[in-house]
Amino acid sequence: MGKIRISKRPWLFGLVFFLWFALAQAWPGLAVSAGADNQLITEDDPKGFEDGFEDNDPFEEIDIDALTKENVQNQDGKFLVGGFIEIESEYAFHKNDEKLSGLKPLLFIETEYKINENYKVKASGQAFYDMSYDIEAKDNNKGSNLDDEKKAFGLKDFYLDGKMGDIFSVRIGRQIIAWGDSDYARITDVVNPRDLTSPGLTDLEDARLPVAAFRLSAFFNAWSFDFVTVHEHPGSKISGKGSDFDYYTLLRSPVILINDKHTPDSGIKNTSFAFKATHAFNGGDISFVAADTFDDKPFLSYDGPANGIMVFTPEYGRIITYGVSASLAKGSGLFKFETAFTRDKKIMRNDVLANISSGLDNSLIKTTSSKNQVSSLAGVEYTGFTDLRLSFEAQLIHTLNHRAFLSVDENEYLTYFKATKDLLNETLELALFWVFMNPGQGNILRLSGTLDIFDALSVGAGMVFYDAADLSSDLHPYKDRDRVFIRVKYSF
Amino acid sequence: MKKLFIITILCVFFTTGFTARGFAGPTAFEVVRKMDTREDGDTLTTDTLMILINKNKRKRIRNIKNIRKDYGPDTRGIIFFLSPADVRNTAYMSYEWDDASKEDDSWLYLPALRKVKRIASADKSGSFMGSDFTYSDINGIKINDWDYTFIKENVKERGFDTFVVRGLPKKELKEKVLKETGYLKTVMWIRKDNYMLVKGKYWVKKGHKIKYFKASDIKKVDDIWTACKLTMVTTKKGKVTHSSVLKFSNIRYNTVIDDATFTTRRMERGL
Repeated sequence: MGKIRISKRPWLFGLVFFLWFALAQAWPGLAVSAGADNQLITEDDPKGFEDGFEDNDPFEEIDIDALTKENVQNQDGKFLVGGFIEIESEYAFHKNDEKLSGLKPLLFIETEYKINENYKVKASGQAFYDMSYDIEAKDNNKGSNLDDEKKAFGLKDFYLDGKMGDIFSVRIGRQIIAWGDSDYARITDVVNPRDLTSPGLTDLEDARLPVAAFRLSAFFNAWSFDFVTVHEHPGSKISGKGSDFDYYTLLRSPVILINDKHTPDSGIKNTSFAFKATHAFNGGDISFVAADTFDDKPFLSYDGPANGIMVFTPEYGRIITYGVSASLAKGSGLFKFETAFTRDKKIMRNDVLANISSGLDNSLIKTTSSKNQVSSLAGVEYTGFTDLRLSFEAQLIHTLNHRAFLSVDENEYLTYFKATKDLLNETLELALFWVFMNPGQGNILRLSGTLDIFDALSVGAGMVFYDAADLSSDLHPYKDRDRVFIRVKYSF
Repeated sequence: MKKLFIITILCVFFTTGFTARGFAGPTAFEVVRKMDTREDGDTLTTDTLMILINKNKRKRIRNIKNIRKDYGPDTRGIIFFLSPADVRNTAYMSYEWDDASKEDDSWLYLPALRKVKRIASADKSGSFMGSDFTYSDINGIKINDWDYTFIKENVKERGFDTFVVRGLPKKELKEKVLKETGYLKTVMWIRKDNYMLVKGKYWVKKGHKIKYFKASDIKKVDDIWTACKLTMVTTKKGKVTHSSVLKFSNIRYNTVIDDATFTTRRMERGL
């Protein structure tokens, strides 16, 4: 295991996909060829049907009375508690980086207390400890700061939710507010930062990070409005020095020091705002978004030299976003469109080190340039095949007034493809997820399957491949991080 | 998400009710039309227990809260999933339009993503939550797309007189019907006193399967005939491969339900 080099054989991507798709599609077909009874298909004799019921009654062994008594939920309970326990193990199988890369027990608990018909409080939190850091001694490297990735204990959601009449509702506290029609891209989904520590490995469900916010919502017929103030600005979670997915791995050198990120404080002056108006009509929805928030991704400010070392600090700039998002359902297809104009985004320059080395005065060193960007996305979800869902999204990020010294291309492309097949009455799910970056910039391919052993227990497994042959690719440092993983989850 | 991608409002099967009336020589189509247009109340709330049983008799259980309201000829419905734990608080909402030129509108709220998303729901031949019921079983078929003939005009079924009606897709609509329902043919047992579908047999093209349907625990709730238990069994070569039971409780018709119930915000708030 583990010697496949997808990056050197990109056609393997296609082959793997084809085999996976063929297997998923063939499953019911194979069953037919093994046991088809075409006579039954043309039968229309009710006598035979009657015989079927009387001699071999298909209903006879179904006795659900006992189950009914045991399993009817109490709808009126004021206090609810639930959660799950998960054991997750990852193994890096690339020949250049073979090791145990994750062994993480995780506990997630959520509670809900219904104060009355209109108000309730919800809280959830999780704790985990990744034992692979100890086993592989990953955080023994000098300067590594991997605590956030190694262990966590804390709140996720914690909010009061209230309904005020038929029109207004509020939610106050730590929460996730998911906007936009894209499943993957962050275009008008501007409120919550994301977990970027393990690209391709983090499930979508875990990608958004909650923030302290106030949300006021109103409904008027087919229109809905959301006004949000955000009071916590942690930025997206990025991997630190020593991590397999170190965010600044390309910059690490003995003469460069990158401090811990400096996030905006929670003072009034840093309050962020976001507004969304949505109109639902037959066959579709359209949303208009305006926001004044902090960028979720950091830029580096130059703090000057210290003992011959260039010191930088990750910081977060404020950006203005105006966007439109829409989805249209037609037949078995759901067509998605999303576009946003982002003003004053601080984009890193690629001439920073050269300018510093040339002896330019520190006060004249510019690490970023503020630019406007337009990010657009088109996508489609297709559900016309039985138990198969296909999703495709293509995103273009265009930087206006682009200059050669910027660290991004004038046009950057990202393409997402996902196929999900349900089998065995939805107890087995196979999924393929493929992220394709700028031509030549690399791919991430994830193949996974999840089997429900019984209602509360599921087992998932999968593989993630990173392909980035181009040295200039952001993915290139991670090209040897291919993973196989297994997860066992017990829900309660 | 996988369990919930194609789901809809539980209404047609178990909101069946029709005041018994006299008739004289109805055609098979008239019988089916009466079955299809029975009184089902202006609003409905119910708790539903769904039991899925595989060929090894292993059972999976889902608890669902269902709310429906008629808006003239149109219907709005919302479903909240109460269990199992991994789908708790998931919600599905649909607006069903009487106008045939309009496609139904559907949204899904996934608590793990905290996101409401619109979904395309034209393919009604898919499994309803992994059960043996399909989307078209639950929502009802378009009776005008089928030709109906009597197989027998009077058969005793659990003590009641029934019509036995065969349904075949109209020739010119066969492909469309097959795409929408997955069925090649149906046979239905329809009670004469209240026009309730009490038994059925469905020939499924994909997988060459035959499904058997039975409605039981039939009684009047708020003066509306209601089947409180529905069973669908899938067989292949005469052997049971999977079966599903829907059992309804706390059924209430014609209560006051405010319009704010059928909003995406309500999906996010939950019950």
